[in-house]
Amino acid sequence: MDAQQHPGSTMDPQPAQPKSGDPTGTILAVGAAGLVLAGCSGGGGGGGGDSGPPPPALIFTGLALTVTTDVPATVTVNGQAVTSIAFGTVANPIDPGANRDPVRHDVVVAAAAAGATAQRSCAVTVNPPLGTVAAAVPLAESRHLAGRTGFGATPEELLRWAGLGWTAAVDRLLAETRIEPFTAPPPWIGAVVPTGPEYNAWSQAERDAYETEKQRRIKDLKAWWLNEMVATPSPFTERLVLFWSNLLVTSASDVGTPTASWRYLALLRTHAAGNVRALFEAICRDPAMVMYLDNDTNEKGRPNENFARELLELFTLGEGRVYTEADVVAAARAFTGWNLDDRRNFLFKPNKHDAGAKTFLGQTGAWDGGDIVRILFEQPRLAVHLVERLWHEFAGDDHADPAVAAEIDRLAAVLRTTWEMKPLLRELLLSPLFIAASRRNSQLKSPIVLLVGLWRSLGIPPAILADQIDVLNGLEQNPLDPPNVRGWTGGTDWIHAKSLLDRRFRLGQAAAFLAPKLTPGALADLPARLLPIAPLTVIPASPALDRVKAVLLDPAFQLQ
Amino acid sequence: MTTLQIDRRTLIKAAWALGVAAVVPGTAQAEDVLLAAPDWDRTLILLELDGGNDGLNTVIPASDPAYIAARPTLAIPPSQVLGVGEGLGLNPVLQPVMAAWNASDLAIVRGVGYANPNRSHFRGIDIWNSGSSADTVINDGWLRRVLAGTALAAGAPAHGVLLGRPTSNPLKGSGITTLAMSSPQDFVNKSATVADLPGGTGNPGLDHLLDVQHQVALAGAAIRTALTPAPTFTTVFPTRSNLGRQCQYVAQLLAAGLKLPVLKLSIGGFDNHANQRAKHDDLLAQVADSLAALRSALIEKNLWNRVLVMSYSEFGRRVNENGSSGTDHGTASPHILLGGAVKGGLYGTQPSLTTLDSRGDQIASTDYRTLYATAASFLGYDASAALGPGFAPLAVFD
Repeated sequence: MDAQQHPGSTMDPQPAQPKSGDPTGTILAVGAAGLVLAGCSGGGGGGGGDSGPPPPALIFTGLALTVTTDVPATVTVNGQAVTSIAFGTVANPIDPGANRDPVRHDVVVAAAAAGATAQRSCAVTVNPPLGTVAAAVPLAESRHLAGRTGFGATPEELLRWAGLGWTAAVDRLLAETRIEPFTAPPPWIGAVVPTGPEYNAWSQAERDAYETEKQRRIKDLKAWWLNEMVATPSPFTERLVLFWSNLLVTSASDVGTPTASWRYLALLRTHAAGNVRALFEAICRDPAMVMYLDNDTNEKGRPNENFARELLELFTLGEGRVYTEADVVAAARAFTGWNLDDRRNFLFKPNKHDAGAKTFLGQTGAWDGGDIVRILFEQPRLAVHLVERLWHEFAGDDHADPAVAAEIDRLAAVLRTTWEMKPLLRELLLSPLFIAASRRNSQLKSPIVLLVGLWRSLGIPPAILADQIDVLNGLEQNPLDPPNVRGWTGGTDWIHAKSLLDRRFRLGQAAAFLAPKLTPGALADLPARLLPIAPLTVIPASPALDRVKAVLLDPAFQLQ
Repeated sequence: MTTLQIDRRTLIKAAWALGVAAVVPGTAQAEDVLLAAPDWDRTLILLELDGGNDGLNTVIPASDPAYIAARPTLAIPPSQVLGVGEGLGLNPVLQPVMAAWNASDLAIVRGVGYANPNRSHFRGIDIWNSGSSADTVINDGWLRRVLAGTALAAGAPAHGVLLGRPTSNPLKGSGITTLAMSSPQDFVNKSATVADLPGGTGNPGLDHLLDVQHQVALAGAAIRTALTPAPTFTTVFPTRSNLGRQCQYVAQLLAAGLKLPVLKLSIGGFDNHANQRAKHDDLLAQVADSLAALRSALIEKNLWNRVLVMSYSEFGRRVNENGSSGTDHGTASPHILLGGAVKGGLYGTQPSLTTLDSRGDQIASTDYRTLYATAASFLGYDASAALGPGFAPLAVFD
C-alpha cells in the first residue's frame, strides 16, 4: 500500500520490508524543516518489482530535511539532482532560510539497487523556519493549542502557527477539520452481514472462520483508526472523533459487527465538527449503538430501557439532572421498534413500536424516538452537559470553578444558537480561560494521545500497528472499546500506580525501538521536541538508548 | 438534589452536634484524628461485582410464586438451588462456596441497599464507594475516612491494594496510600527503576503523577522485600479467570506477611440487559471458584480468621425480567460476609417480591452502610464518624 505523506507523520501503514538476502534496504528517514506537503505520491517507480528495492519511505522529521538510508539513493529537488546519498548519509538539499513565503518544491528520493529503482516523490511546501518571522502566536501558546487539539505538538505543526495570530490559528484548525478520513478505509467495510438463517446454514468450520475473521477485522479497524490519527493532516478531527466516541459510547467488541463499528466511526467523523443535533438524530439510528445498548430488542410491551437511560444520563442531560425514572420509562417506550433488520441495518418496525401516549419531560404525546431527541434539545441543560464534557476533554477538570462554570454557560449559549460545533469550538479555543498560561501543560495525556503523539512527533510509526492495540488495552484506552458506557473518565484518573508503571514499561519498549532509528540531530532535538516543560530528571547526552528512554520516562512527557 | 461537600472533619463535627456518642478521642480539633487503634493483623477484602449483580438469581427465593412469575425465562427451579434455609437457595453454580456455608464461614445479608436508590451504574458505584446517601455527593472514599490518620504499620506498603478495576476506589482521597496493580510480581518488576521525585510543583496534573510515583517508589521496595521469596501454596487457584488470579495475588500478599488493611478484588460483566442466564451463571461460577480457592489458601496459611471478604455492587436488578431475557437496573440485593471469624447464616430481612417500589424494584431492608460499619469493626474501627450516625455493626462475628 502506498502511503500518503505529510509533515511530522509519514505513515506507511504496511512498510515494505527488505527481503533477507536482498542487497537492498530502506530509506529510513527524511526530515524537513518547516516542510508542509501539498500533496504526495509514493510507491515504487522504475522496476520496483520483486527483485527491486522496497519503495523508500519519506519521513519528515527534524528541523532540516534529512535523508537516512541504508541503500544508495539520490535526492532530486525541482528536477535537479541535489545530492546522492551513500549509506547513512545526511543531506540537506533545501535551504529554507531565505524564504519568507511558503515555496513549493518537488522532491524525489530514489533508491537504486540490483538494476531496479524505487522512489518516493512529494510536493512539499517550505514555510519560513522558526525565527524568520516574528511569531504572532508565541511558541508556548502554539504548543498549548496544538497539544490540546492534536496528538503532541511537533515543531512542524508549531511552525504552521508562525505569523498567525491566535484567532487565525484557531480558524485554520477549524477550517482544516475533515468529514472524511484521510487514509483509505479498510477493504472489508462493504461486507454483508449474514442473516440468521444464512449463518445457521453454515458448517461449523465456516462459522469458526467467520468469527475469527470478525475478530481480526475489529482489530484491523482499531489499527486503521490509529493510523488515521497518525497520518491525518487534521489531528483535531480525530481528537473530536475520539471525544465523541467517549461520549456516545459503543464497544466494537460488544457489538461484534466490524462493518457496524466502521459506520459508527465514520458517522462520528462526519459530524465531529458539524451539527450536534444531526449527530444525535443519527446516533439513535446507528446500528452499533442500537446493538450496544440493546435497543435491537426494545419492543412494544417489552421495553428494554438500556439505551433510554444512557441517552438521558450520559449522552444528553447528566445523571440526576432534569429527568426522573418516569422519563426513562417514557423514552424507552418511545424508542420501541427502533430496531435492526436481519442484516443489522437500522429498521423502524411499526408493529414493534409503542404508539401510545407518553409523558416525557413534561410533554405528553404519542412520542417516538425523534420526538425524544427534539424534546431533549429543548432542555437548556443539554448544551451545558456537552460543553462540560468538551471542557473536560480539551481544557481541564475544573468545570466546577465558578469562573469556568460561567464560561461554560456562555459557551452553551453559543452552542444552542445553531447547534453547530465550529462556532462553539472557536469560542472555546479563544476563551481566555482556555488560553490562560496557568492551564498550559497541566493536563495528563491519555494513552492514545501519548502514543500517537510520540509516533507523529518522531515521524516513525511503531513496528506493527496492530500490536499497539494490545499496548493501549493494557494502558486502559483500547480505542473503540471503552471500559463501559460512561467511557474513560480521564483527567487525573489516567494515572494510578498500575497505569504509571505500565506507561513507563511501554515507553521503555518504545525507546528501545526508536533509539536506533533516530538521527544524531533528532537525538539532540529530542527533549525540545517531546517535552513541553523542562525535564524533571537528568537526560544523558548518550548513549542513544539511555537518552531516548530518559526523555520518554520523564514525567514531563506525560503532560499536555 | 442537594450537593454537599463533606469531609471527615465535617462528619465528625456533625456527629458531635447531633450528640452522638463521642467516637473521637480527645483531640477532635485535629485535622486527622485517630479513630481507634488499628488491628494490623486483619484485612478487609472487598469484592466488587461490577455492573449490578442480579441478587435474585444469586440468593434465590425459588419457591416463591412471585419469583417464578417475574422470571419466565430466567427463574431457576426450586429443585436446582442449594438450600440455605428460610425458603432461599443459592444459584447452583455457587456450589464451590457451600463448603464455607457448611463451615459457618459465610454470612448472607439480605436486602442491602439504601433509600431513594440510584439506578445509574456510575452514580450508583460512587455512592457505594463514598458511603453517601442517595442525595449527598461525597468525593472521597468511605474507607479513606475510616483509615485516614492511621499510620501505616512498619513495613506496610499501603493502606490498600486494588486488584482488578483500578478506578473504582473506596479508599479514594488524600492521606491514604492506595496501590493499583495487576499483580504483585508485575508491580515489583516494573517499579524497580522508579525514582522518587519531589512534588509540589503547583501543576495539578504533574503533582498528581508525582504523588503516585512517590507512593510507587516507596511501596515497590517493601513489596519486593516481602515477596522474596514468594510464598507458595498447595491450593490450586482457578487462574483461567481474572478473579481467580486476583485471589491468588491476595493470598500471596497476605502470606508474604504484608500488613494491608484493605484489598479490593473486582469482576465485571454483570450488566446483562439481554440473554442474562448463561452469562450470569458463568460469572457467579467464577466468583465461587475464586472464593473457594482463596478460602483454601488462607486456611492453608492460618490466615483465614484474619480476613473478612465483603461483596458489593452498584445495585441489584429489577424483579421482573425484561423482554430480552435480561434484567434492567434495580435496587436492593443480597451481599456476603465471608471469613473464618464470621458466624455464618442469614442476616437481614428478605425483601418482599410483591410490595415493590414505583419502578417494580425491591425495597432495601438493610442499609449498605451497616455492612461497612461491620467491616470497619472487624478492622478495629468505629466507623460512625466516617459513615454518619445510625449504622450499627451486625453481630456476625464469632
